[in-house]
Amino acid sequence: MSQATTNVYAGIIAQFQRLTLFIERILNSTFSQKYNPFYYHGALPNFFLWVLFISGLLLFAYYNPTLEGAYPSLEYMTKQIPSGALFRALHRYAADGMMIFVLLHFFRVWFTDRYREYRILPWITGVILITVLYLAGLTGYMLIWDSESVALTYMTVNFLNSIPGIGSSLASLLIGGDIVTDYTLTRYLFLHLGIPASMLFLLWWHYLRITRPVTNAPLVLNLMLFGGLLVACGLWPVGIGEAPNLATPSASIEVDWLYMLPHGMLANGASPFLAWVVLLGIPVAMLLLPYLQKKQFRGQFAQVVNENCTGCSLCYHDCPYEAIEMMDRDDDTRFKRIAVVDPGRCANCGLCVGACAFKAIEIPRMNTERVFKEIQVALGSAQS
Amino acid sequence: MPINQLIRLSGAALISLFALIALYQMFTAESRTATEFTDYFQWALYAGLIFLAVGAALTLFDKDDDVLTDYKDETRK
Ligand code: HEM
Ligand code: SF4
Ligand code: SF4
Repeated sequence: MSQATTNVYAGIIAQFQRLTLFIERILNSTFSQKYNPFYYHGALPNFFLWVLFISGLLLFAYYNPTLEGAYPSLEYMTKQIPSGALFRALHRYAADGMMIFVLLHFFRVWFTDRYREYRILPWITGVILITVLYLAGLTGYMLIWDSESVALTYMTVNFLNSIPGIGSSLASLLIGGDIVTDYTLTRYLFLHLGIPASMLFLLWWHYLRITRPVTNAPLVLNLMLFGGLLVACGLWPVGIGEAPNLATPSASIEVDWLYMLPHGMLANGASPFLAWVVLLGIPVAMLLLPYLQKKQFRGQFAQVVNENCTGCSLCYHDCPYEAIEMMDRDDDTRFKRIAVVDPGRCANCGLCVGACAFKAIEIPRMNTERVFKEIQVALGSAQS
Repeated sequence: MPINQLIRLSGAALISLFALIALYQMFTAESRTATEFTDYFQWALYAGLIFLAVGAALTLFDKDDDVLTDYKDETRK
């Protein structure tokens, strides 16, 4: 990436960072610092995930994944079971809430620069997570199997078919064959349950390198989120559309832009090519974002000054990321051991620099001499 | 009164007002007929407002409140 590009990028991000810090300040005064939702940006999507699991389990108990049975089972759920429709609404709005809060989480970590060094792992797994979340939501809308779901299915099949070469194979992978059969709904159900199950594994991976991930928000915030969800259910009840007819699906679909981005574009006259570019462009752009930053900010880690290291292992005990290993050394010094930093784990936090009494470990962006000078200058100006 | 406390107080007051109306609706409807509340979406709306009000109240009367509202953002400037 050229220097000019990275400078422009850094300038834009600096503005967004100021904006997030400004909103953060407002939230601090309205929610108090303890309950500021910005400090639980990663934990808030998790709340929705739990609501989705619980409400989904109840829906699963009544769902019948066959061409003949799916619609009547949903109709029964909606119209006969007390609170069945409410659980459907909860499930739907929790899905929307999850996507909204995942996006907020994404913007927050992006604008506050929290994706460098070891955080590249949560970043990449995050992009996978948002992609599979999207697929889970889309298959959810297909499972309803009213006439709009049939239209959504046909639209998706055509959209997949528009890819040259592999398109038709992908389409038959989705609907379980060349035409819609009972297996189509089995396939949808498999995807809709299997994908969230895979999210649990992905989340473990997402947290793997984070020392103390905050995965649960305080009760107060969860209470308010649940309140907000219930209010959404009350204001926009969820019903069920016309019975499905494979020959004449619904002429239009109600687009949930969070989970039907290309469908919404296609319905508004965009070409499949453009819809594909947007759909694939978003995750690819997300993956590339970390590489837009200045080179000197990338891939840095603590450097051991071999001549000075006595092998005392103070840094080894202090490193919160378990990024330092003590290795045997057999060069011609009198010391038996030496600290070795694992670049994949080092967060560039600088704690080891403070731990070392021998000036034997440095982080490149802030070398000790410079920090001491800065402190002296600051002290000097404070005294005068 | 500092501006941030004022914002929080009026926010919580507003939501609590809605919640009180919700509670009133629930009790009067319950006493009128038993059938009026078959629509669970109404219950959801009222319960949701009450949850929001309780949440707002809990942030408002948080015991660490003094420390929190004294927070001044000078470090960031
Ligand atoms: C299913 C969706 C997701 C969930 C439930 C989730 C959850 C979390 C949680 C709980 C944390 C720990 C936060 C903390 O301790 O402060 C975290 C960190 C992080 N997430 Fe996500 N995340 C999701 C999606 C994403 C996405 C889409 C991205 C961006 C592409 C992302 C990027 C990150 C990064 C970079 C961190 C490290 C931030 C830090 O250390 O402060 N996540 N995530
Ligand atoms: S800077 Fe030092 S203490 Fe911090 S993670 Fe790297 S090796 Fe560990
Ligand atoms: S604290 Fe310093 S001297 Fe001791 S092992 Fe670590 S780098 Fe070497």
